[in-house]
Amino acid sequence: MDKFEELTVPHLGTLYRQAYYLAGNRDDAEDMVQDTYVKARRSFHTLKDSAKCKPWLNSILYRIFIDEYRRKKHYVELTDVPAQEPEDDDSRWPEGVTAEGIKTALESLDPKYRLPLVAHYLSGQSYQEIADTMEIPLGTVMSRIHRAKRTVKKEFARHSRPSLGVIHGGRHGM
Amino acid sequence: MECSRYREPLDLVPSFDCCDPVFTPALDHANICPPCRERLASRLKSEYSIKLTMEASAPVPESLNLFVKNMPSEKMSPGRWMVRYGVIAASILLMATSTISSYRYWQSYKMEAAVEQLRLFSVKNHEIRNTPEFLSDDEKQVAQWLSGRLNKVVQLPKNLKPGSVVGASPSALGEHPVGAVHLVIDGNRSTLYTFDPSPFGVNGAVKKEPSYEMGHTVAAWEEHGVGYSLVSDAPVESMRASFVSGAMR
Repeated sequence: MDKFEELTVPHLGTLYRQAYYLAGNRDDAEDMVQDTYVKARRSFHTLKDSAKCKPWLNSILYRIFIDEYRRKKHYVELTDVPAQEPEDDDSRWPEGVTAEGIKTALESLDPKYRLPLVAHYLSGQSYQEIADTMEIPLGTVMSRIHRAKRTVKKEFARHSRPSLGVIHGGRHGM
Repeated sequence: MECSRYREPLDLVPSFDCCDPVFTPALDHANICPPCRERLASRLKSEYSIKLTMEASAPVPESLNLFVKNMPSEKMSPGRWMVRYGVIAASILLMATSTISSYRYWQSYKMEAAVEQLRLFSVKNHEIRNTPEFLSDDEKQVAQWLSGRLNKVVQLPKNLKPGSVVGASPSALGEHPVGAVHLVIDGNRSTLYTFDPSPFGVNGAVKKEPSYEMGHTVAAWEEHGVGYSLVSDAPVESMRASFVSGAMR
């Protein structure tokens, strides 16, 4: 095992899980992580501090995700434009949410909100570390995560509510 | 009122990380506000559950494990080294060649311009000075007189046929003092200027076959490091015939 493997392999699981919830499927997630490792291997000599290997790998993954999204959608607005703020409510966070429910809720998010929220849940980084990795201000990270949480909570609530219009045999979307 | 103020920070308190001091006021509020405390606890519990579900639901595929562990090292193969450094070496060589060529072209251009200037000075002097200071048809005496007058050794060209010299006088081409030998070619007044090419920056470049220019026949050449320019009222053919070999060497 060379130095590269020694430093990067322990983060493989974290990277893959983030890629999975960012991409929304296993194939794309695997491709993203493979690209991350190829790029990391090529630029490994630029990593001066081995203690920063994790944020360094995360930043490569995030860049790949953004580039891939741009390629597919041609353009993605990464600056904060005023968008309709999801209404806050006093409803409780639902319990017993499934992985599929989480994936569906995350897919409803614009990538600029999905990325910091996934990083927040899975990368093990603080808000400040996420801001540094994504090269955006701390305040922006926090407001995006807050907005993402509200949307996700609403999605969870929507999918856990019994459908009245169409008979699906009970609850659906979970 | 107080609760709504702390709503956003309480929604951002991480469930799985040590708390940032920025959240302290909100947490202090939650400690004394049961509804907010309950809301926070519910969210933290739920989000922690979400995080655990996410972590458990996406195991790394074996194919990805194998890919990472079998990745080829990025150490550059000899072929890639050769290509990379070959391109760099070729670029440097091309730049050097181009620079040298440009420099040589520029030097050659500069010398040609200087020789042209010399010929122009020679023609102007020939038109102005027409009376020798020293009269003699002996080439050795003329050379000796000029050497004394200019304080340096003056030699007459071997390439020019003897017997036509009539005298000498000091002259100048531009700012540089030179010797002027008065002679006759085919019955026509002529002036031979003898000079050191170095101050003019034309070493090795003085070579111009007799040609008709500016109303005179003009030639220039070098012999053993000494420069000569010859201006004559004679036609080109006559000047050509006055050279030992019938042409300039």
